[in-house]
Amino acid sequence: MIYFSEIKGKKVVTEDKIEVGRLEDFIFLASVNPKVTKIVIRNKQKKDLIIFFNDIKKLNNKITIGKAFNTVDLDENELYIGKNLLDKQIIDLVGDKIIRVNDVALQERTLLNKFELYVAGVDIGLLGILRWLRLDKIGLSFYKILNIVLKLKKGPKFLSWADIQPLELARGKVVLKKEEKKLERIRPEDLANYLEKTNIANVKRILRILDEKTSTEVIGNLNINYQSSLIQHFKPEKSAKIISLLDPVEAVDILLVLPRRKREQIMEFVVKEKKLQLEELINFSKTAIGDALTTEYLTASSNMTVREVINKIKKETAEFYQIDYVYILNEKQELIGVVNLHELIMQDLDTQIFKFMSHDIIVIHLTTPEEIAIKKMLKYKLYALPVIDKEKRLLGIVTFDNIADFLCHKV
Amino acid sequence: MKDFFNRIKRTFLIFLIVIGPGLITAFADNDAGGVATYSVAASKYGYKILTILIPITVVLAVTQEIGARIAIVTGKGLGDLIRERFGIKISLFVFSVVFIVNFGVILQDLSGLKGSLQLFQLDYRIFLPLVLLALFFVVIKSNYSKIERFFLFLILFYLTYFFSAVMAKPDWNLALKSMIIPPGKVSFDYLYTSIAVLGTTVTIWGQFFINSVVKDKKLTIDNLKYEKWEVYFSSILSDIATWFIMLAVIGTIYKNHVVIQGAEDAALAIKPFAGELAGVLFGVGLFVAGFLGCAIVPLATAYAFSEFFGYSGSLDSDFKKSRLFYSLFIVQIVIGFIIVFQQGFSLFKFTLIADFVNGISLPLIFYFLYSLSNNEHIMGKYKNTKTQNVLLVGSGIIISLGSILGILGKLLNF
Repeated sequence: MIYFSEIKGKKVVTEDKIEVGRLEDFIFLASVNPKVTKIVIRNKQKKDLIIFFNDIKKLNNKITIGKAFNTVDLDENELYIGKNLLDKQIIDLVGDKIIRVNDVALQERTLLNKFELYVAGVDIGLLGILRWLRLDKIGLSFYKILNIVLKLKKGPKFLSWADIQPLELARGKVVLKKEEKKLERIRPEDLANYLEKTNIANVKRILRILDEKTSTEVIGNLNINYQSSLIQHFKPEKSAKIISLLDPVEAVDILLVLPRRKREQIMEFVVKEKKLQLEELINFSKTAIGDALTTEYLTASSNMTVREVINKIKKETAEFYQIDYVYILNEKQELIGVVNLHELIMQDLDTQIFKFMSHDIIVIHLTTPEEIAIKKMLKYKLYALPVIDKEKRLLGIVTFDNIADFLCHKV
Repeated sequence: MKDFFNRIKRTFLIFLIVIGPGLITAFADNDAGGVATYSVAASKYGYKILTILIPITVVLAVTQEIGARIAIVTGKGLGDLIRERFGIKISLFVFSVVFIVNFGVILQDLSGLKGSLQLFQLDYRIFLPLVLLALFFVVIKSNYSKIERFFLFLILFYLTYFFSAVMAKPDWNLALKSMIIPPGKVSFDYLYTSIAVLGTTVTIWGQFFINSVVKDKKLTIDNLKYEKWEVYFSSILSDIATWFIMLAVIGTIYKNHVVIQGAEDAALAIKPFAGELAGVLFGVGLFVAGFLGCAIVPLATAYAFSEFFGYSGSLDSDFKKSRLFYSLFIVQIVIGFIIVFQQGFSLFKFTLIADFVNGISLPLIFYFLYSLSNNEHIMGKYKNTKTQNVLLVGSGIIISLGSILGILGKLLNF
C-alpha cells in the first residue's frame, strides 16, 4: 500500500535520465475497478503533461518513464486523484458532512509482469494530515503511547473505495454508500478482503444477497480457510455450483482440504465433464507435496524496515541453498504478505515492509498435489510457494528445485 | 405610481429576508476590542481620526461583499474553498493564523465584558461565568434563525452610543468636516493607530464569518443582488456607530485631555463631563459589544475549523451531530475566561500584538479572496469587477505597508 502524499512531487525522469518534471496528479477510472490509468506531470514551465500509466518503467525514489511517451487527454469516466478526490468533503447519504479526504491510499498489483495501481480508499484520519507534513511516524508513535496509557484503540482511519459512490464523485461530491444492496458494485477482491474481517455468519448473509457469478468470484478471492468453511456451511448443491465455476486447480485445492465424505457429497452434484476433470486432478493427491517441503525460508514481521530485513537475511540465511522471497507474518504468526529480493533491494532502507509487500499471496497446502503446485508456479511465475495450514500458519515452502524431479519424471 | 410603490415594498421585503449576515458581522466588528481601540484612538487624535472612517467603510464593504458573494455562488465557506483549492498544508497554516488571531480578539472581548461588569459594581467572579453560561445556552440550544434574531436584537443596543455621543456635545460641524478633510501632517503613531482602527474593523474572522453565516442562512443566487446591498448598508451603519463611539469620547475625554487605556476607562471618564447617564449608556454598549464579540469570534473559529477539516458544523445542527464545532466554541471561551479571570491580567500590551498580527495577516486573507473571487471555475459570471479588484488589491497593499511602517515607527519610538 502506498499513499498519494508519498508519491506526489516525485521527480519524473525518462530512461535516458532526462528530467521531465514532477508528478502532479494521477488519473483513475471512477468505476468499481478504480485503476490508475494516466499520470499528470508538471514540467518546469508549470505546464501539465498527461501520459499513460503504462509508460512508467520504474516507481521508487524517482519515477522512470519510457523514452517515447505520448501525451494523451482525459477520457470520459476518468477523474483526478488530486483534483477530484483529495481534500474533498465526504458526506453521507443524507448529506451530512463527515470529514475531508486527507490522503488517498493506492494498492499495487502485479499481474503477469504488469504493474498496476488501484485506488484502495481514502485516509480520513489525523495520520493522513500528518503524512503531508512528513510527521506521520511521530503521530504513529504518539498513538501507540496513547493506546498503551489510555487503553484506546486509535490508529489509521480509512475508508474503502467500495464505500464511495463513483457517480457522485464526478459531480464533485464524495458521497458514502452505506447500504448492503450496493455491495455488488464492489470489486470481488475488495469484498473478499472485507469479508475476511467479519465472521462466517456475516459472510453467508452477504453472499446470499449477491448474484451467483459475483458470489463465486468473491469466494474465489477468499483465502482457503474461508473457502473451505463456506463450502462446508453451504448445501452440497450450492457448493458444487461454486466449485464448478472456480478454476479447476483452485477447486481441487479447496476440495482436498475438505473431509473425504463431504467432498464426495459435493462431487455428486458436479456436472459430468467437470467431475472427470476434477477427479483426475484429485488423484494426483496421492503424490502430495509433503515430501517436497523445505524449511529453508525466512520470515519477517510487517513493521520491520528494509534495513532490518536485509540484516536478518545476512545473519540467518548464510547456510541456505537459495532464497527468493521473504515471507511476512503478523503477530498471530499468520502469513499476510510476501516480498521478493529485488523489491526489497529497490526500496529505501528505512521503508517499512508493509508499505510495499504484496498481499496477494499464492499459497498451497499439505494436501495440494505436486501437479497443481507446478501449475501454480508456472501460472504466476513463482520460484517458490508457501505451504500453509488451516490457521494460515506457514509450514514450509516448496521451491521449484524441490519438485523439478517430478517434472523430469513427467517429461 | 401604485406599481412603483409595490415594487419598493417588494424590494424592501426581500431586503428584510436577506438582512442578517452582513449586519451581524459588521456590528460584531465593533466588538469590545473595537470599542477600546476606537476610544483610545479618539482620545489621542480627536477629530483627526475621523478621516479614516470613510476609507475603512469602503474596504469593509468591498471585502465583505466579496465574501458574501463567494458563499452565495459556491454554497461553500472560505475554509472549504481554501482547503479544496490550496491543499492541506496551506489550510493548516491559515487555520493556525485564524485561530491565534481570533483567540487574541476573544481575550479582548472577554476582558471588555469583565470591565463592563466592574463598571456597574457587579462582581465579575460571579457574573462573568453566569453571562458566559447564558451565552453557551443560547448558541447551542437555538438554531440559526433564532440566533440571528437574538443578535439583531443585541445590535439595537448600539443606539446607546448615539445617546452618549449626543450628551457629550461634540462639535457636529467639525465632526462632519473632518470625515472628508485630511488631517494634514501625519505621524508614525497616527499611522499605527489608524491601522489598529482598521484592523479591528476589517478582521480576518469577519471574512470567514460572513462566508459561513451566509452559507448557514442558505441564501440563494436570487438573493445575490439584495445581499450585496445588505452588506453595503451594514458596513455604513456599523461605521456610523463607530463615528458615534468616537464622538462620545472626543466631546468629553479628548476635549479635556484625559489619558485613557481602554473602553472601561472611557466609560468612567465620560461621566464627569457628560453626566452619569452618558457613562452608563457607554458601559451598556460596551457590555453588549463584548457579549456579541464573545459569541461571534469563537463561532468564526469553529466554523473555519469545521470547513477546513470537513467536520459537521452548523448552528442548525444539534450538539451531538456537530460535537467538535460546539466543543471548539466552548473551549476557546473557557480558556480565554481562565486567562482573563486572573486579577492582574493586563490587556494593554497584548492588544498591541493581537492587532499587529491581525493587520499583517489581513493581506494574506485578501490574497485568497482575490484568487477565489477571480476564478472563473468557481465564480462563473459572478467574478469580481475591475473596480472591486483595484479596491481589494489596493487596500491589501496599503494595509501591509501601513502595518509595517506603523509597527516600525512604534518600535523605534519606544
